[in-house]
Amino acid sequence: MSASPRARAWEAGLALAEAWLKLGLMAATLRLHPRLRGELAAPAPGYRARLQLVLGDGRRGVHAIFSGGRMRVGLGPLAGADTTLRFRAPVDLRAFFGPRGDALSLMLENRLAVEGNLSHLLRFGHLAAAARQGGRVLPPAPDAGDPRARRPWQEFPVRRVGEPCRARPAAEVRALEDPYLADLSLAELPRVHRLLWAARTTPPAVCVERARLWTEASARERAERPGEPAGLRQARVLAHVLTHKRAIVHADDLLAGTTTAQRLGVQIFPETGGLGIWPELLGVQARALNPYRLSAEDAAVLSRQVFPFWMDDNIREWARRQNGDPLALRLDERFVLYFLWKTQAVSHTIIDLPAALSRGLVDLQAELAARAEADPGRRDFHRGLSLALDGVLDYARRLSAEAAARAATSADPDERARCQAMAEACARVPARPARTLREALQAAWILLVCQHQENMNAGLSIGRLDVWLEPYLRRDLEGASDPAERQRRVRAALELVCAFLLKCTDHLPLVPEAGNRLFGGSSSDQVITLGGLLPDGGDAVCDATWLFLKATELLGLRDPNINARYAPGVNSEAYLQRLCEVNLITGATPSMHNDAAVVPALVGQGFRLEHARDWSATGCVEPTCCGRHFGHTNCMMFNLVAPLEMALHQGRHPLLAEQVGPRTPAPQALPDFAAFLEAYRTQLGWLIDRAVEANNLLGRAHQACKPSPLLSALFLGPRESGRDVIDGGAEYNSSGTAMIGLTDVVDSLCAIRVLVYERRELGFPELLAALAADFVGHERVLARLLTGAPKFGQTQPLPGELAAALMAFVQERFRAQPHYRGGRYLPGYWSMSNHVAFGLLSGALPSGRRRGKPFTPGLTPSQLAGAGLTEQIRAVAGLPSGCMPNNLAFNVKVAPGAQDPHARVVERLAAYTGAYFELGGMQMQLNVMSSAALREALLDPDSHRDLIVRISGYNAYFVDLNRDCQLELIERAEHALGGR
Amino acid sequence: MRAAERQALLADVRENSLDDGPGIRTTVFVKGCGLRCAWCHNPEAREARPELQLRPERCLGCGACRRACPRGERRAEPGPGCRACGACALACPAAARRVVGAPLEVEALAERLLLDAPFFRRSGGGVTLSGGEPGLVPRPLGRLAARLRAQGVHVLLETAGHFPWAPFAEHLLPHLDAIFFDLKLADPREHLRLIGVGPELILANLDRLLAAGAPALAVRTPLVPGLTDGEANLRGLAGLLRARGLTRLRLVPYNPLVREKRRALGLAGDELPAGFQAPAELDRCRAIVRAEGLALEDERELECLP
Repeated sequence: MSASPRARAWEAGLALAEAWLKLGLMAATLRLHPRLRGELAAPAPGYRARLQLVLGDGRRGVHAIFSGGRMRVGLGPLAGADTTLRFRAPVDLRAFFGPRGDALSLMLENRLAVEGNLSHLLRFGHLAAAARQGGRVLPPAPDAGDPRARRPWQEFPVRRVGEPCRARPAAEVRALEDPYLADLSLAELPRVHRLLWAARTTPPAVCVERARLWTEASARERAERPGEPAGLRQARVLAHVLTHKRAIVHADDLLAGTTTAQRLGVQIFPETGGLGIWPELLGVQARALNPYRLSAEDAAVLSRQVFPFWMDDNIREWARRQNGDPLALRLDERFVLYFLWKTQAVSHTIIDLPAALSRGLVDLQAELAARAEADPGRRDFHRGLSLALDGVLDYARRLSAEAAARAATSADPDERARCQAMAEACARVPARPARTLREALQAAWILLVCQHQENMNAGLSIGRLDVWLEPYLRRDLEGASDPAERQRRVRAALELVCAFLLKCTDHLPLVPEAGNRLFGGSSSDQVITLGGLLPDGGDAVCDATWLFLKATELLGLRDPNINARYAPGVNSEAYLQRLCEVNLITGATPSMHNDAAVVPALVGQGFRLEHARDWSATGCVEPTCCGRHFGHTNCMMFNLVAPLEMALHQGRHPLLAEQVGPRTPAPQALPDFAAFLEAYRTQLGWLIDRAVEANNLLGRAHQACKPSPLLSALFLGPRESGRDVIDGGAEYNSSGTAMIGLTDVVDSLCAIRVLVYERRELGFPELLAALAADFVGHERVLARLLTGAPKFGQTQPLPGELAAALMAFVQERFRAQPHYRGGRYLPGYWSMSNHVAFGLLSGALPSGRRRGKPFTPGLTPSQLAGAGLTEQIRAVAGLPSGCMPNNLAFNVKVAPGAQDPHARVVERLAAYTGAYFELGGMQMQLNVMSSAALREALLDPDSHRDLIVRISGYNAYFVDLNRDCQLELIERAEHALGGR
Repeated sequence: MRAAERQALLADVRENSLDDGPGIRTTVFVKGCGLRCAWCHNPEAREARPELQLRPERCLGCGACRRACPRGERRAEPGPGCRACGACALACPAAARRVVGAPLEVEALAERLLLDAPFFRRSGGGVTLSGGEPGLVPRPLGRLAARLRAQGVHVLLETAGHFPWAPFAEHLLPHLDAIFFDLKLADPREHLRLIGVGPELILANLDRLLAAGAPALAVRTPLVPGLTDGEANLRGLAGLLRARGLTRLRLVPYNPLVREKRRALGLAGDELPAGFQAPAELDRCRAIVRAEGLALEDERELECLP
């Protein structure tokens, strides 16, 4: 900067004076405005906090003290502050007080660093907004929402369906005459059509029910039974929620029960990440991207009753307090190094649904009682699990009563019958074993709803529904010998499956504005996995598989996230082709996995073969051995590029502008490539150690604050071991990671090795200057980086070898780590949408990627490599799948021509996929759409609301994505599927 | 040197090619062709010698090429006089220049092609030999084809038919699964004017191929607006086919991308149409061929083969 020290001092003084004036105005408004008087007083004894806002080194600042229902403001720093907001420059302090001063976004850009309890910053953000807006909530934008909500449901678009049966999947299908169900479209399923219309056009609304009940019960427990074991306390709290949550049956429902009290509800978990929405409470209805409805009354409930209770006792703050604000956690708050999911949830796992369906909860409770008897030392634990199940049973009873009441009062005979059926089903399940497909789906749904009250649904996955539901489907269809009756039953089964999938969309995770930038458009990412092998090695593809594929094709939902396993030589080619056909029709789903690669990767980590064969994807792509493996498969998203930037700068990170990692030699001083690689590995290893340390601290916070008795009751292991899943009670324990940006690292290392060390065309001083300038004025350097070195995806040995060596290093480093519940860390290479967020925060790279551009999604060659589709497929398939036990996401965008016949496109997709699997590839996900179509959707979102795209593991509606994600999808290399 | 022993020069190897026959294919383009079609779509493959090719979109304008050129700064462009020594390509920091025409090493190329064997097998694809005129280098291509077929790879030849018959029949023909045979103009004078040679050798080779029986063969006509798509020409071509007992013709729609290619080689190309053919124009051509009693085929399908 060219300004003189005097000018800078003047600027800083001015910004501080302005901040002081604004704080003063805020304090006066909070004191005087009638609508705001309760804000600082409630709940008793009122808000007490000391907050300071400082510039740079902290010698100058302003502060605010909250106590006695008042806010007092002063100039200068403050001793003993609860929270310190450190702004990088005066302009950042100004931005904080500006009209769009979102603190989390400033933190994301590293213009603001926070020390101490984050909750005070969040509450402060809310108070500032309240003062600015006079306590009023901003109304939704007049043109917000889906315009189709105002049109009749009949006009809601119907997707085209696949073509009639071409190849019969031999013995895999027994009960269905036409496994393609080609004669059924939404036009023949009006109820599904209406449900889809309602699900897709209802605007999301924040639901405070669960947060209010949870807080109420937690306050009671804290007051009345302070010494209670954590598991038992959580069970009582959960049971309170389940016995008080409203039992709701909506019009057209085939399955009773709702996750929230809103039609499309956004759940709040104040004990984990819920407070993140606090600064936006009054404006979230009006925000441009993914707005939520929230009434003034509900906002007040959250801000005055719920959130204050959790300020010190949410997971992040508990871990911070217990561990003296450790570096590992502070690094998490810098966003560019790693992102830890445990601050939000631990639910990336899959319950033992088959046991719950076939035994019923009453039987599980009997087992718990017997175990409590046998082992009095663990009695409290077993009692907690049983209490949690009591809550579920109470909720099911109330649902049954609600459905019966609706049946009794309805004038419509069809509705009466439907409600009666729901009443009967809820009276039977999940208490006792399910007998029909309806009962099985109803039981599954109630169990999911109840789990969503215990833990935020962040990737709580559903498992192998085709395999698990097949016996019920078969039984339903068996009795009918008359073809018409059979057809009716098939249709009813399809209707039920569709209704179940739509039920799963009735809630959304809470996403603060900063999260819109990090996880654009992600919903809960609940995976249903189809096909593959049975535990005994047999063919798992069955009638229910094809039924789910049909439902997937009809609905075109982003979530549940449908994943399909393919076992070469066991599953039929017809099934693989059908997967590709559904992918073609929906554009983005299912994603496909190769059992021949995934199962050995799991066995290599110590899973028994029959358990490894029973894997199901979780969240995005990550394998969980169903019901027995507590794998929190998305515990962290790790930026592999950050240590590269650190290695280039002796351990400093350019964005953070401070020494982060160990001081490695300046690159100029490193004599050869091996030495440079060692510097990178030093930084990488150090950062892995920190991320694991932070995850372990957060894991212990969950152990102390938030065990999961319901999840544990429905898992294999805890009942037997007498330990909660969070305490290592499951049969298998692990934590899964997402390592992001490997391609960018490999391409950068190749450029350094070839151009700097081998050919000596380029020196580090020149390279670093070019990177710092984002290549502006260094076009020759950029050209050399882009064309002078091999890149991953090209038919060249070096990138693949480097990638494999790094993957082995990562695996070894994680293997050496301690684990808070005695498991292993399993690395994977997929990225949700964090390749965009991390890329946004990262500088120019030796790969030739420019500053702020997204990294490549998952583990996919960069478009800068210019590799063709078969070349890319070979490169990715050649990676060692044994080093990816948490899987990878290989993103491919293919564009069929308008003239290409449907059958040929399907065959060609199957050829690419099949060849990838044959070559050893593990996972592949296809976006079947052209960049041109995506550009059109960017310009005309209202006409493309149903366009789903696969980001890196999960699906999103394209129009919900932030602009960076949208552009990343458009810029992905596009491969034609036909000629010209 | 006899034609059959001539070394083959590679113009390009294009993987994941979906335009040159059925399924997923890799197309091998060799250099050298005796024809001089005014619309040549692969001008970089015409000369049987290495040539300099430009990629202007990559050029930084840094001048390194001019400084490197042994012929002096002002002549560092492709075209007459350039011996394709490669000095400028080596000096270019942005790979905006390359020399096309490396010698074809059969074993190394076969190994590279076989990397995609799973794609070929699963899609009903394979390897396409194209050019240039692959019929001019039958010996190396014959060895390549034999090597590929030994691994079960389908090999298809794209030819314009202008090559000496005997070495082709001896070395390459036995190792082919299918042939795409181009006939462009029916009128011998037009043929001479626009293609630079008369049609006699081409038609004679077609007759010999038909007499030889195998392998599968399809005749194609590239549509070039104003040059090959006239009614008289299409009817004339249909007549040539009928006279040989052939019942099918495939029409290959015009692709204007050729203009870019020609520009990159420093060749004239602007007189060629800039756009794709309108569907109505294609329909007009198809109607003429059908009226002549021939069946039409999608040029990407193989099931049409006799």
